[in-house]
Amino acid sequence: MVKKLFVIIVLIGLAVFFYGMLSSFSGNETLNMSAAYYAENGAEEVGAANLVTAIVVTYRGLDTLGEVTILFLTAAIAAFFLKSKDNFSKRKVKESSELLKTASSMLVPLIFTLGIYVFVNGHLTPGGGFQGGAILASGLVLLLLSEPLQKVNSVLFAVVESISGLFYVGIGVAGIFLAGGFLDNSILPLGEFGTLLSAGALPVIYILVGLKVGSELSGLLTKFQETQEEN
Amino acid sequence: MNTISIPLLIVIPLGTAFLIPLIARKKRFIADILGSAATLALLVLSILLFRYQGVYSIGGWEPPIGISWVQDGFSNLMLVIVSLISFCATLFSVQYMERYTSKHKYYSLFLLMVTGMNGVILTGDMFNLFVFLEIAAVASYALVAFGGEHEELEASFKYLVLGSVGSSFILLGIALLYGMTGYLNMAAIANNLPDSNTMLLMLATVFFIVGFGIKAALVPFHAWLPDAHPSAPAPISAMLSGVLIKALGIYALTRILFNVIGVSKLYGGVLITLGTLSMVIGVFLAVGQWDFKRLLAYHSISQMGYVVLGLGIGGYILASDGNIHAGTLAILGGLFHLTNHSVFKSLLFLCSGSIEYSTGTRELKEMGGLGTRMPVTRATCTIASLSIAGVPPFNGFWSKLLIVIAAIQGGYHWLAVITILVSFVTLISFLKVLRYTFLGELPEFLKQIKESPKSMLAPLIILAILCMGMGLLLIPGIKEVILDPASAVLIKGAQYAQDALVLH
Repeated sequence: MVKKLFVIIVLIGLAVFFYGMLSSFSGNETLNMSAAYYAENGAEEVGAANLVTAIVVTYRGLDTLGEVTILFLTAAIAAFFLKSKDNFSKRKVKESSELLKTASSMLVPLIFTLGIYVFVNGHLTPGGGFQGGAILASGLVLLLLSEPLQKVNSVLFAVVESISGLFYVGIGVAGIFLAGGFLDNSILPLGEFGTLLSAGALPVIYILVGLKVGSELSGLLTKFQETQEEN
Repeated sequence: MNTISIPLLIVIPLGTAFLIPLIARKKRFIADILGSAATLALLVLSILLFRYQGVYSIGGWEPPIGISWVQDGFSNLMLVIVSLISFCATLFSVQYMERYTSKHKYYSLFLLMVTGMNGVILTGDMFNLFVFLEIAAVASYALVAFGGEHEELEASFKYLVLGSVGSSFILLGIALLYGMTGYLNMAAIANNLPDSNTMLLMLATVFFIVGFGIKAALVPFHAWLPDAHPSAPAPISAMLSGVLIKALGIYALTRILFNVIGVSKLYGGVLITLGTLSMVIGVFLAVGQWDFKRLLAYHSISQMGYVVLGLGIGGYILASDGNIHAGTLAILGGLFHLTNHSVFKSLLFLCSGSIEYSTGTRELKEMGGLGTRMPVTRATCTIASLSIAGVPPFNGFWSKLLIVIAAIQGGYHWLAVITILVSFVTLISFLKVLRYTFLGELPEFLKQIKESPKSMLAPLIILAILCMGMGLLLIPGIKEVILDPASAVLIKGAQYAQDALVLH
């Protein structure tokens, strides 16, 4: 009790302290220097209609490579520490409802298509590789819900994930020789603004990121499926 | 030459980490070859690049808009240290890691950790620093738990929670700096910071000190280290104590404090306090330990204290326009001790690994008389122990000497006394280690043991030779090439903001 009271007092004290510190703070009314530069020159320099993508994959491309790597790491770590059981396909599960089965057989292809659409068009419309990849994996969730004992080939996911990672690094290296430096997306022509084949290597990078994120999350899901305990 | 080869410092470990799960899943020796080849290539590359300095813009986007990498004396020195220790650790892993399953995962994680450290060292961009810091940190959380035993998982979880708290503080600090200046490029931030020391800037600095303090395991942020470092496999302990806490903690903190925010008397004082506390408390916690690796882990805290103390004295003197000579000497001593510590501490952890490999125990009380059976391990371990205790002519002596001289010249006589006393306690602690491991009666159950395989002894010998020879780095002529460019970066401080915006 005393301990809880102490914690509450400390929290209140901290809140007062930070309020006093930040109460005089006023946010920027105008775009700051970096943001203003991106807004003014982004479309012209990168050639992508989706400015967010333009910033994430080009100006700050190294961060994106790093974030993809962190996701690779977490997926690999989770897979390593989850001990899979060989006999998971023999365990008893409740039969999925007819409704779920029918719906998933219709919806799963649509979800996959949507996911692919989102990452292929990442440089034109809202979305991108991470979002598209997550949508792909959500299709797999539905598939596994309707068929809980379905065997999924997790080796395939691992291979796709490694290969797309390698190609991403490869595109980065190609930038050194063909364009202005490591991870330069202008190794391919910028093309006509707003069309599918524009913005240099950006669509290629997003397809790779989409495949990589999709296969990482799917690999994680199959690992969960294999290790799940039934009570 | 270096416009092509600088990105290789990231491309080689990252590409190999992606490649290993693809082709080495079934065949262990491919993973061994790829891992060692990658770290060897990094070592050669970092030595070749050592004399270059300059700014490299990723994707051709010039600073301050794009992400840039800054290669200067300090980052060059750190790159060589990281590459050297990782090469020795991979060489050691070839035999040592045979006991563990999924070696390909091990090398993949290992190389990602190296990628993260190289990125942290090279980057001149605040958010990019955070991304690479997380890569290195997340990889190290997994490597600590690699054995998969209960105790190791617990240590790793503790490390993960505290590490994440540290990362959150760092991210908050970065957000505050970005909000204040509108830039993420470190040099541009330094140029656009408000002139007066506002509350917000101070808050950001406090966040950085706490965040990086946790990564560097300075007292009072050290609670995770004595569990995490001993739990990891020996080559990983060597990496964690040898380079990870330095690259993620000390390097990043000093880079931001000295080159971006600018070191003031207050921050110099904070560094001195943290350094002294770590030095003293670390060593007294270490003396009573009977687990070999846990003892070494506590000594890491204590030795990091020396480094931070040197840098703090230097920063304080420079900020207060005191004796420039003493300030320079203190920073040089701090950086030299950082370099030395990575060599002797990773050697000590590899020695503990070699002993554990042969005897199967880490308990000092269960050992004894190993000297006759393991002569190479005995010799290298003795050299490393004398180095960490600061016995002349080994490398640890010279860097501690520099720090003591600088403290006296700067007028901190009591700090000089504490430094020397801590050194004595360190010596006592390591005499205990040597006495219980290599001298005395060989216990019955250890009669059959043999010396570790040659591929594990090679890195021990390399590092031991370095321990003996690194005092030579202070000889005029060599010092100007290797150590002075690194300390000059910190001494010039704000000059970084000019240098790091100019492309070469």
